[in-house]
Amino acid sequence: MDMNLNAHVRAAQGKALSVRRLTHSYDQKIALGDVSFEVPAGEIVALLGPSGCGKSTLLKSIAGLIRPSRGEIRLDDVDLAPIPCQSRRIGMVFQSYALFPHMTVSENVAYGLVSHGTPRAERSARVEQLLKLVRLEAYGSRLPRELSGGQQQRVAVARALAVNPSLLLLDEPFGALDRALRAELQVELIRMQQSLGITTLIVTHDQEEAQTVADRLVLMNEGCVEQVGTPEELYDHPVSLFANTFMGHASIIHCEAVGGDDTHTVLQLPDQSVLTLPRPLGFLAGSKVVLTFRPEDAEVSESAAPGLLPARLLHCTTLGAHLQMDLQLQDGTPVKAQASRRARLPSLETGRTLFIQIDVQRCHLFPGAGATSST
Amino acid sequence: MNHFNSNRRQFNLALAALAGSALLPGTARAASSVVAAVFPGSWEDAYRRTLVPMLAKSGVELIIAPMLAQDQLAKAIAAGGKPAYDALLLSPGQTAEAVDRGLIEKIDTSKLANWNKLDDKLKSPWGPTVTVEVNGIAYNPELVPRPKGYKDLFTNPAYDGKVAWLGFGSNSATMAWVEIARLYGGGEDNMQPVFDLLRKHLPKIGAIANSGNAQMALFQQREIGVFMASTNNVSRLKTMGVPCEFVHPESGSPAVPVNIHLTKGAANPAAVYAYMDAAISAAAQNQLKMPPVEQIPTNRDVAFTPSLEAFVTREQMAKFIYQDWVKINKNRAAWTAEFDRIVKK
Amino acid sequence: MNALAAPSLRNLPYFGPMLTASVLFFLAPLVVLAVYSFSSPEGASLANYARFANDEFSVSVLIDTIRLGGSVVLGTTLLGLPIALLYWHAGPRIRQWLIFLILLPMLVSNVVRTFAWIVILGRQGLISSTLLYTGLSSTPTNLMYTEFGLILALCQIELPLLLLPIIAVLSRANRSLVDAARMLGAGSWRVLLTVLVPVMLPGLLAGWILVFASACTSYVTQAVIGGARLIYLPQFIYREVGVLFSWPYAAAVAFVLLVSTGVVMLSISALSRHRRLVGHA
Repeated sequence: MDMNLNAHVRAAQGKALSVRRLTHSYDQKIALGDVSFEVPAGEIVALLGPSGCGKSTLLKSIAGLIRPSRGEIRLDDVDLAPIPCQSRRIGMVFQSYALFPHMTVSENVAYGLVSHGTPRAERSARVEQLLKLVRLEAYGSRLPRELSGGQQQRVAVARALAVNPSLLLLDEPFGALDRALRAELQVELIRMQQSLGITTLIVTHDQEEAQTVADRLVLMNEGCVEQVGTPEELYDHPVSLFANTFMGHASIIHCEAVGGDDTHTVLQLPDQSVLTLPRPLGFLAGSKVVLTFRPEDAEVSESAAPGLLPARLLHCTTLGAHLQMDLQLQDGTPVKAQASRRARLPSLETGRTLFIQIDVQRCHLFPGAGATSST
Repeated sequence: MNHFNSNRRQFNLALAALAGSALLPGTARAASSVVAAVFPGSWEDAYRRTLVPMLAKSGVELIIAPMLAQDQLAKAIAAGGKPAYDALLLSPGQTAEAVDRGLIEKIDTSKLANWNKLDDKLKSPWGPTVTVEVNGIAYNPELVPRPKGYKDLFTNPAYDGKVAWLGFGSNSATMAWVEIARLYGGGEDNMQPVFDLLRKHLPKIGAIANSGNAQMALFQQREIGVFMASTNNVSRLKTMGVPCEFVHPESGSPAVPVNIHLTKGAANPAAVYAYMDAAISAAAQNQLKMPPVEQIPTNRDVAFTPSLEAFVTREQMAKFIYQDWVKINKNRAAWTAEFDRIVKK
Repeated sequence: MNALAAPSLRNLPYFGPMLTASVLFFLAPLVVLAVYSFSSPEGASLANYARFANDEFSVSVLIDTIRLGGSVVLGTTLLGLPIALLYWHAGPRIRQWLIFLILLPMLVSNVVRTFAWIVILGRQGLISSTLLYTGLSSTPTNLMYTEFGLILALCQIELPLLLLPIIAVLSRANRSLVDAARMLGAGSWRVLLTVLVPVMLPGLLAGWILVFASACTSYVTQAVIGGARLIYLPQFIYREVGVLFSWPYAAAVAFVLLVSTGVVMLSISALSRHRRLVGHA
């Protein structure tokens, strides 16, 4: 992209967004419970969570489309509460794109400029720049229904950017697109965001998408923020069982803490075998706990050894350079293990028994039902 | 077999009425039956109650097809020589039209035993008069003084804005206009005096409605206090509890004879004559003069009831005015057009 | 879909019944009417049409009829748009009630509704007595037999025909469009004029066609509320048929009514096929 164009489009600098103790409820049902997080200026943050977790309500509160019951939203220390939606200058890309069906692409992009009283000459120049930015120069006189889904999405982005927003909100912007196109447009969005330096908040339920586009993730569950961090932090150091299972796959084994000291923890697995973790975890003996591990943290071998869990091989899938194995422990618990296809592998007949070694350094422990902490 | 035929005839009749056409030829008619068009509502009920059993005794099956005079005429025109009805029931306005279009036949009066019980004025060569509807002025005594005649309604300011009129589409209105024309020097041939009067008087007219029913609705709502009505209209309003009185205009009451006609091409003329004769018989009219229909009897042997005499007596009947509907019909289209031009806003 | 787009003999079972019904019950009577309209004592001719066209009075009746349709379209639009907007902003419960209330008048026979209007419009009626009671007027107001009264009654009677297509469109409309416009800086009026009205437009145009056709041809209401001094083509035709028995002329006038309302309706429908309106409803 040529630098002149960039400089021109980037008239307003991105501002830092800060959400503090935001609470909102519909008909006595809590949609947001005490949500706080920050988006540093110029960064791209993903709001991630399953559907119904409150992320759309949060986005609408920031946009000014709904007034939250309590809490504070600030853009560079300016409280947004008294500013009505139409004066906030926040750009938004809707899940359905919400392009005005009776207006051409150019008219759609110019809509915000007209609202803000931009002079006609300046307006058409800017529309032209924006269409160039999203590579739709030739489509200005088309109507939205004459465009493909991906093109419509790009028009929606151009329209949102037209008024030099200090914050860009995207609500599941890739949800309606097929996989290949989604990947392409995700890369395009990152490129554009980086070149414009606009603070961006993207809502998605797709953890892969969130990891692809965002510097930082805000993981939400049932109206609350579960964890905030980089994709690596969330993947490697989940603070909860929910965070652990939502980001990537995790196998779950319900077990009981039977002992331990300052340096290690002893767990009893459902098949009565014992696993020792080399770290103190502070569970009282007798507590129910949940042990989780990633497929890549479980190694399979052919022969039994102390500390290895016997499991029946159910299914084997090739995922590029890796093999993914679906196994079943003796008590029926399903687990997944992964191995490099380059490594020397045992014979992988379905139904045979293999032995799993869980990486005790990298596995996670969470309180189970009825667990009590010693601290 | 007879029963079957009769059902089939009813079915054919229903179909014919529905389609308004003569697609189904009346081939399956029993030897002694007559399909008679009769005005719907009270007329239909009264004829069914009175004449059907009476004729059944003498072996004639009477089948009543309820239909307004205008519709009878329209269907007879549409049928084109294959009539769905053997007998029609019409007022002179439509009778003149039916004669003109050759839809009905002159009758052989010798075939009617009761013919000579009728007054001469009621002996039309096109069929006997079964009753007479008398027209005059209806008024609400709570709203306006009693008018003496038509002229009052234009000269006395008490009636300004209180009188409803109808155009020449309505028979009773047409009769009133003809009478008014006569009062101002015109008549069936010359409606100009009425048009001049109307032009001058238009701002003081209460309402010009589109139909008799609309007029009566306005009268009930006390929107108007006077309208041109038949005695039947007035007795109907009275039974509904609406304050309403009937006046015979001092210049005479225009009357409408209602006649039964023999349709040209009727399947069984003998049965039609039996039906006509029954309708003017003293036995039938003694029943038809009773409420709720209260038809004015035309058979001289039938005495007036007190309730009828409240409106009209046999003596007054002699003074009824029967207008020349051949002339009226000839002028009607022109009058209608002229009336519209005068009253259109 | 495509199979039906191009009728061929193979698809006869799909369009056959419809075609038969249309020809038998719609086209055939229309042809009979057309033939009638060209008949005159001198044989087939345009005499009946010439008679209509050369008569200033008849032409003025035609113009009044079209104008009545236009006024009712305007009136129902002014009444209907606020109701449509209320529907747009209402929650599901109120929406249900609104639809019920909109449909309610349609459950009453047109004749009954028309007579009910006498009670409201007359000199002794609701409007007149309200004006007298509140002192806004010192003499009774009569709206019966006035064009304004007729338009008022027709607006109430035809309103559902306008609202139902609009509501159908609004129920399917994307609610985010309004949010998008607001986020782009549009105030309420701009949202209304640039987003909501265009979104409603396909329904509005469909409603206009229905209301116009219905108002122009509403014989009973025109006759009862309008009286004899406001003359419109349906009454004109009825009288030619039922009183004066000049059927060929009546047929010609009927055709004039059919063609002139048809032209207005086709223009509205041409408007609704504009590329900006197609496919977004």
